[in-house]
Amino acid sequence: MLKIIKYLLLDILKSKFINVYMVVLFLLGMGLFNITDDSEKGVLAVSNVSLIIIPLVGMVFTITHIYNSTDFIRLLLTQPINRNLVFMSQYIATTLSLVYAFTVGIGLALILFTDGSYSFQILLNGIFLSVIFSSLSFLIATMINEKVKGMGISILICMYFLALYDGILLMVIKAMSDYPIEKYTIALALLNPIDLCRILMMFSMDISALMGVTGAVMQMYLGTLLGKLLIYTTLAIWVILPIWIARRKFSMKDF
Amino acid sequence: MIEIQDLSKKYRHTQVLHHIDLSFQQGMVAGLIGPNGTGKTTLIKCILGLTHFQGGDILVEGNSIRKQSEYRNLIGYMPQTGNYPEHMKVSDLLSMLKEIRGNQKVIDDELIGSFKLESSLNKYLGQLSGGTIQKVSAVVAFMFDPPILILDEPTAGLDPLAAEILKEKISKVAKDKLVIITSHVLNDLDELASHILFLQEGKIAFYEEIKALKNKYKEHKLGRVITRMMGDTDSIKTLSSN
Repeated sequence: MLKIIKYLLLDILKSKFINVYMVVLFLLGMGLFNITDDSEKGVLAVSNVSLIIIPLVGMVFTITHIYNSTDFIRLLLTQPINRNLVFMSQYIATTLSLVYAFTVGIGLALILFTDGSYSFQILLNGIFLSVIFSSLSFLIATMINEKVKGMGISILICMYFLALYDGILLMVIKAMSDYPIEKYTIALALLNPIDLCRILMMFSMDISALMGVTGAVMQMYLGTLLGKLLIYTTLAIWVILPIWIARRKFSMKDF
Repeated sequence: MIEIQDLSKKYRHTQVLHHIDLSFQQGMVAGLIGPNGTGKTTLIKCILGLTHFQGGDILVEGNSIRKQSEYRNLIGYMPQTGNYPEHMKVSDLLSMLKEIRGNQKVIDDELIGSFKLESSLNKYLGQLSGGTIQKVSAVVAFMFDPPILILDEPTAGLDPLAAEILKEKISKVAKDKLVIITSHVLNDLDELASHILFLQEGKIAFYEEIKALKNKYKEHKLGRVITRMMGDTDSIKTLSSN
């Protein structure tokens, strides 16, 4: 499998998309850190922007890449190797290149323009989101054969996690504001990986107090070691579950 | 070499292959023909393991191809279209495939020379024309000197010279191999094939030796034999005027 990953990585890392993505992330980081003198504000801005960009760019790139690779995947499948190997090498190579572009782009900005505080959390969040949205894209591309339909659904899912989900959540909170529903909203937050990364960032910067009761309740339940463990486990499930289903679908698929 | 037993394939609600029973032997060049959408590509894909089949079985060298991938060591496949990674060099593609088939020592890269591909080896696959990509696909299919060759429309997209080179190569290696070719160009099959398998609506319309067919119908050209067999007099007229 390593042999195939090596050749696939060499191909993807030379693509314009990945390199432009990396440079844009760096320039964005540089711009946001230099726009304000308060480094904490800069960190928060970079974190918020990457929480939007990573899922969107990651999904568009991965979905396009898989559909464009269909013929090549077919060629690999006619070789004496099993399907899981072909699938996993494609997944690992694509995901690694996204993680690489993000880590180098934002990482360089963090090294050059900050004192290094919170860098670890920003990078960890970014890596988790890159991997999660790559897994989701592989699931969509394996289940849907038409490229345009697959692209449409991936953008829809992205929008759902980025905006729609939070909107619905806020509506529920507002409608039920007379009841003590904080605990339940935490449970609902687990269903959105982007929210989970936002919560992790909030804890690491110790700004949950700014969010009133909800922030306090979140700090109380999720701010503990056990809470953080729950968040990381949920993020891991967001990585593993889609790719596990996608792998099963891939092994049954007709090419 | 390849035994197909009671093979059935259904895509959702469409039955594409109906209880196909046939066998391909070593030394045979089988031309697979039939109208569009009749199951030719599906049959090839079933043999290659690209498509799962519901009923029956396929045996390669006596072993069922279900749940194994090793049998593909015996097969070289040339697809009709090849869309390879844009930023991968031709030489990298070949090295990757060699590494995948690490246990195969014999490398037949004669076609690289015949097609004059040496200068393209260091080019990216994304820079190559459709015809050159097709030549690369041919190189890939023949590279490991496999006992079974499956060629899907091999001459489509090739310039006349390259098509001749490829046909010569097929004839040269065919003696001790099994070659399965799908093509709409009956003249090519007339030159290359020993047997014709005609599929129609997912069933075998006929599967016979070309020589015997020509004798039976007292015709010299395969195209005329086929059209006579199908009882299509209009097509014969068109063929004669050509």
